[in-house]
Amino acid sequence: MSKLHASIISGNAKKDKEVLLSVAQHFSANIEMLEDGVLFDVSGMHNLVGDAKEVSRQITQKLEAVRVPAHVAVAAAADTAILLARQNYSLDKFPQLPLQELQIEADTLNIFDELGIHTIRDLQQIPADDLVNRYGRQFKDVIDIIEQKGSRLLTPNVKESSLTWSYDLDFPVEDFEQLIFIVNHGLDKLFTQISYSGLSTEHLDFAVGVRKKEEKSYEIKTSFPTLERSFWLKLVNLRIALDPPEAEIVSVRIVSHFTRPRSDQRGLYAVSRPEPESLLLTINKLKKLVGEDNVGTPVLLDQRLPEAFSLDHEQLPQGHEKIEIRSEQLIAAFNYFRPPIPASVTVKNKRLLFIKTPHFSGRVRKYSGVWKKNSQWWNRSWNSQEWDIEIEEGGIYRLCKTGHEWFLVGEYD
Amino acid sequence: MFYELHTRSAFSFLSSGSQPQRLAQRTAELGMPGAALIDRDTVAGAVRFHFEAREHGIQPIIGSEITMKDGSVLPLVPMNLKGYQNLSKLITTIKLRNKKGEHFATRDDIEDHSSGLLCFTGGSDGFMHSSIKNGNGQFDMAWLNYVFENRLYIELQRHHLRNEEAINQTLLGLAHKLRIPYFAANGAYYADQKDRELFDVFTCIKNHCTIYDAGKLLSENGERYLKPEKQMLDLFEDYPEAIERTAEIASRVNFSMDELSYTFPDYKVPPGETVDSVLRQRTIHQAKERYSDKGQDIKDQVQGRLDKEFRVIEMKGLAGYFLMVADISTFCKESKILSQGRGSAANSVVCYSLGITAVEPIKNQLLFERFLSESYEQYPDIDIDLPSGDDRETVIQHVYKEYGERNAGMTANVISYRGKSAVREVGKTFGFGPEVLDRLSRLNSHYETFKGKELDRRLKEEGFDPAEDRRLRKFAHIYEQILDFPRHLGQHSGGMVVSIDRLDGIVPIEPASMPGRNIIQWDKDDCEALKVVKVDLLGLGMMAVLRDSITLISSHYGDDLNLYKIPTDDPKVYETLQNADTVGMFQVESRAQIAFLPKSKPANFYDIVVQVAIIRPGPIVGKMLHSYLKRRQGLEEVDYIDERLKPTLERTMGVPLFQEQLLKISMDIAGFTSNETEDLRKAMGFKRPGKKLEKISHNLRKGMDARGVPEKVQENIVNCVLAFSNYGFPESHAYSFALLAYASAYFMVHYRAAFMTAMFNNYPLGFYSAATLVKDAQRHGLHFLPMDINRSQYIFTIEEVGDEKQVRVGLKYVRGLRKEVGEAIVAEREKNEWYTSIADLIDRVPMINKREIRALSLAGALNFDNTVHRREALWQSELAIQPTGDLFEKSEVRSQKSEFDKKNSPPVLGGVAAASADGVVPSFLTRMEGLQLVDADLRKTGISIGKHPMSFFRDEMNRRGILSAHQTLDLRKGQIVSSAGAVIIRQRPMTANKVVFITLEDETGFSNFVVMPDVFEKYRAVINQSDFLIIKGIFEERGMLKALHFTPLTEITTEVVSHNFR
Repeated sequence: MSKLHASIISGNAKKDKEVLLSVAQHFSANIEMLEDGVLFDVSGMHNLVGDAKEVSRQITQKLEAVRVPAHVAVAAAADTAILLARQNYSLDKFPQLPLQELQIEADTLNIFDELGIHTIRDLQQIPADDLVNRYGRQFKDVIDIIEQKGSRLLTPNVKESSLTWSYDLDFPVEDFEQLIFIVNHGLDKLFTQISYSGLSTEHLDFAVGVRKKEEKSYEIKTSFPTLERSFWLKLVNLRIALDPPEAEIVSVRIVSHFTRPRSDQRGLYAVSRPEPESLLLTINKLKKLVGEDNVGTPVLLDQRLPEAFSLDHEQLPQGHEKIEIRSEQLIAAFNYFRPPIPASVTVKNKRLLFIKTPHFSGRVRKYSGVWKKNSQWWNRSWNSQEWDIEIEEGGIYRLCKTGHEWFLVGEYD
Repeated sequence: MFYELHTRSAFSFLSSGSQPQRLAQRTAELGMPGAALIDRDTVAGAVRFHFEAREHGIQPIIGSEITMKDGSVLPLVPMNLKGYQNLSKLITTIKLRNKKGEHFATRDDIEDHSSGLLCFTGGSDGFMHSSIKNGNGQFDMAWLNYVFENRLYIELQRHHLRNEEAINQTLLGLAHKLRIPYFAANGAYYADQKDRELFDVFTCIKNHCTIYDAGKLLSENGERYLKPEKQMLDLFEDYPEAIERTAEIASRVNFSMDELSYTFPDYKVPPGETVDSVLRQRTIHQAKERYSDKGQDIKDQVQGRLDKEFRVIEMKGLAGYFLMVADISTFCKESKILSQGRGSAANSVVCYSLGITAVEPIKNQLLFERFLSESYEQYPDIDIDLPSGDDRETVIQHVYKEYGERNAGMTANVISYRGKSAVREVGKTFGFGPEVLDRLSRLNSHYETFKGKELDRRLKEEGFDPAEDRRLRKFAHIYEQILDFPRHLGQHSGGMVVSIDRLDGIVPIEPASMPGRNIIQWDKDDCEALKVVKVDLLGLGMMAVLRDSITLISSHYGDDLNLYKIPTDDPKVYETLQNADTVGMFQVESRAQIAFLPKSKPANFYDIVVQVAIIRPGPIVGKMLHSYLKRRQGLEEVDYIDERLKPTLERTMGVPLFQEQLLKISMDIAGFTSNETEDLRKAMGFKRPGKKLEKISHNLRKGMDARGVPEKVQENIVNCVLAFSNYGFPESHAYSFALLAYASAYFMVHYRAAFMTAMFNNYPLGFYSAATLVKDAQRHGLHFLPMDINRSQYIFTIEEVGDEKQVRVGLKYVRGLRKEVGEAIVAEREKNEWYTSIADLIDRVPMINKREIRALSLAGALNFDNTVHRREALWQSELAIQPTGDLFEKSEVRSQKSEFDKKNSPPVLGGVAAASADGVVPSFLTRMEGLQLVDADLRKTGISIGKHPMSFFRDEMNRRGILSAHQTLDLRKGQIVSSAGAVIIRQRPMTANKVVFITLEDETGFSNFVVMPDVFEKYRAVINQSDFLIIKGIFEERGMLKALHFTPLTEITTEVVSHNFR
């Protein structure tokens, strides 16, 4: 029985991935997802569907039905099918295909051009041995594509990577807390099944069906794989507490994505500190407390900005042990006031004399500055004027002037 | 009193946002009494700074930051001449010792050159800052204090930066501990605060990053600008003595660049002789030979003229210089290198006698006073034209060898940011991708650069709107600012400076990019300003062509010619010039010359001198061109502006055409003193005359007023002077060029095969592409023989075919063929036998690579007497170049070769034998025909001896009523026609008020079009982007149509080399 392959290439393969897959699944179980489409085996469909042309027509019909614009080609060799689909050529126009579309080195392609050989038909005139003698064994691959003897095998790469559990409630529930028992049960079922295959999970997609509204989804990730049910349950609970559903819950669905289990050995001789699970829970508790945007890993920015650091909300704590090397130089720590504290400053003869804030006031004993910074002239230019001041009653502060207003932006520790 | 003692200019390449002149101007504007320019490892900007400061009446202090081993810098400032010499020698030592860009000074270097220098501790990148951060502050400060005892100053800089103050306090601590005085500076990297943006962009260019990812490489604030005393006092109110001390330091600097006394190379003379006596003896001896064939009347005048010249030369102490230049000329003769002195030296009988120049001054009425005068300070200017390439390099290396590495150097050429380089580098900084950069680059073609509103308009046209996009606005702003900023130092095309003492005591010397070459850090104008005399060893492609022509004429025509023995009254030469049939001739081949020649109709040698000088921006802008032409044609009466000028202007029909004439006019009619005249000469020769010319114009008017010269005449004369600034052409130069122009025309007319062979062997040169030169030669009946592996030399050669001399194309033109491979192919063939096949070639010339074999195949060099066509050769070569084991192919090739007795016999069967295993040409290989062949020729060699690409479309053109170039030459005025061809010239002269000239070429010749600005704007894209065009135009005058409409001719895709320029 001769082989037959079909290929669908889409300009928007990433977006249409699911649709392409479902179309392919309609014809075959042997499917390989490509970066720009899908390749599937349609051998032996002669009796069921018809010849290659008919197979191609039916695939096109299916695509039209789901309104996905894509190119379809059916050919004996997988390479040829992909090539034709990519160029939107049918098999009968194959000889007219320009050589540029084949994987031929630019140098060799130039030589063919100089020789007046421009299409596959031109190349077909040349004895294969002559070509291989000149351009090496690797050119055999090109010849094979032309002769539709491509050695490329279809490598099925569509496999399950997640497990789903769902539960429809008999009656709507307002408070998620009421569902903990059910969710616990679902997680138990999922994790038991995952553990059978020796895998673990670090990613849950948690979705709740909401009455008369769209399903609400939560993506929960950890920086390590674990099947610790109670831990996941707490995470789910915290996550939902941060952004609760807007109406009564009518269903629950959990998708657990597989991954290899954690490889590091823990707890054999001593308890490793801090437990990553508790750290993650603490962070989530903090997020619940202060808001998601205010928790993250601090990152210094390589920019000339007034406060050249930011919080990376995505980056999770890595938990690497760090050996502190203490610098001999004393480094002053600085606490930023959030928000800056408005101040009124008495200035005489360009000297700072007295400062008054809602929290304290006092004579300025010493000060240094003005420190001027400005940059980003190509974008949103900014500038600042700052002084470091020592108040008579104690404390060294950073004073900033914006327009005519004064602020204390922080304190040296 | 505050002096800013630490500034850096754009000559610290990519480390400053201001030109040295602007720093000086700003210093003066702020009321400061002086400032110090301390560029990094260079004094390249010092001359400009010095003269600008002098102009503004402030004290210019020169110094340099020296890069230390750890990358920090140590600012050094000379107190006296000795200090300057040490600084110059120090920079030279570190620059010559290391690879370009990798130099640094060791502590020993600093110790060895410390005398006479003040040392500052520097700013944030200073040596002491680095030492303090590394914990070696006290040790290093003590070392500096020991080396620069009583000459070390601690430099305090404040830029409102928090982290600066800690170092300042440490420095002050050391100052008190070691009793070292301190002063305040702002370490200005730019004159004005707004220049900080340009400084940041330079930082990005230096670090190869965009402004968006430069991060903390950029400056924290914009405080490094020149600050007035008041502001500095505020900044250092706690240390007012630091401000006061700047005046004390400035008062210790007793060095000025004016002190640099340059002396000519000493000339070794026998005991009992002086340099003057040797010059006298040698000149008189050689004069007898030089004047042996001249008329008695001239001979009678020689001795008197020589005596006069000797007197001036002796008075000015220039005998050594003349002898040195004479030695270079002698070396050229001994080495059989064609050389010709040019410049005002052509006015000297001494130079002529010594063989430096070729133009005889007495016969040609060239006055010595225009070269050297006893009444005013003037320095000789001798340029020597040499054949470009190896010969010139031989002479340059001779000078280095003769005078020593540290006594000789080429003058620098300051390479500045121009349209395209500015767009690319600034564009990259603003993160534009390659595609956008290409589009932006296209805004500035080779023949136009835009600024201001015009730039905004162009940007809009290209789909960029600066008003809408802040990034584009900033880009446009910085782009305009960066134009003309120095980018790096290159080497001047020929200027060489030689000194008696070590030259590096006058100016630092550094290695050029080119191996074996050193350059000084000043350019031509700097040398001129400081009266440093140079010898220009200029490479002229035409000299090489003439040299080769003479050799070829001797061997193929049997005529023994000499550049100086060609009859200058050959009627055929003048007829050719009058017909403007001058493609390939020196200086008279340009589009403008070709348009002018039929009108000016040169009829004697002096007419050629005028011809060479007149098509220049000076005479064109000054409207002298049309006046001269009308007078020559008898359409306008000759007048001399003022009767007093008649003697000066008589030779040029009352129209001032030469620089010398304007100098003479200024003396005769405005009463200029000799020094004022010298200033005018300098200003006219300067690239950047600036305010000097304004001042001179004012003096001219004043002088003419005093002599009662009418206002109209004054206006006329001042306009001439202004037009000549930067573009004036001296008569002596014109004479020397005219000689070469005449020789090239003479050889072209009488020995075309030899001249064209020499042209191709010395290409690139001149105005036209090699492809155009071939076509022009063919139209004149010269036949070319194709390139052939068994017959071609590496270079073009002449072959006798019957009675006819034909030119054989050389292998040199095969693109991608290495010179050594080409020469090896020829050497192997001449040593043994002809090549019989591609396999044979590869076997016998193993260094050849596959690209070269492919190129030779496609260029038609492997046709083996037409037994193998190009594609077949290429197909064969693909197999032949496969690497094979020794046991296989070599024995096979050898056995093949043994079948033939090939010595001295053409390889008739060889090619076929190698065609394929069974001797059958594969059917899939079709022979290249017609335009395909021409296309392959042009792509692989840049020339084609086949038909012109347009000839393949002639029938279609005829059908469409499109005329050939020849048909467009003579039409009825006002007739509207179309012509088509390859665009070989696009020119937008600066003098033509945005008018563009386009030349098309077809198989019959050239058609010329003038494109008015509005039409050009309409068809800009088509004109700039099409290689072949159909142009509809209205006939104006012979050989010139006014373009109305452009259509691209897309059917032809062969390569066209266009000459696009301003």
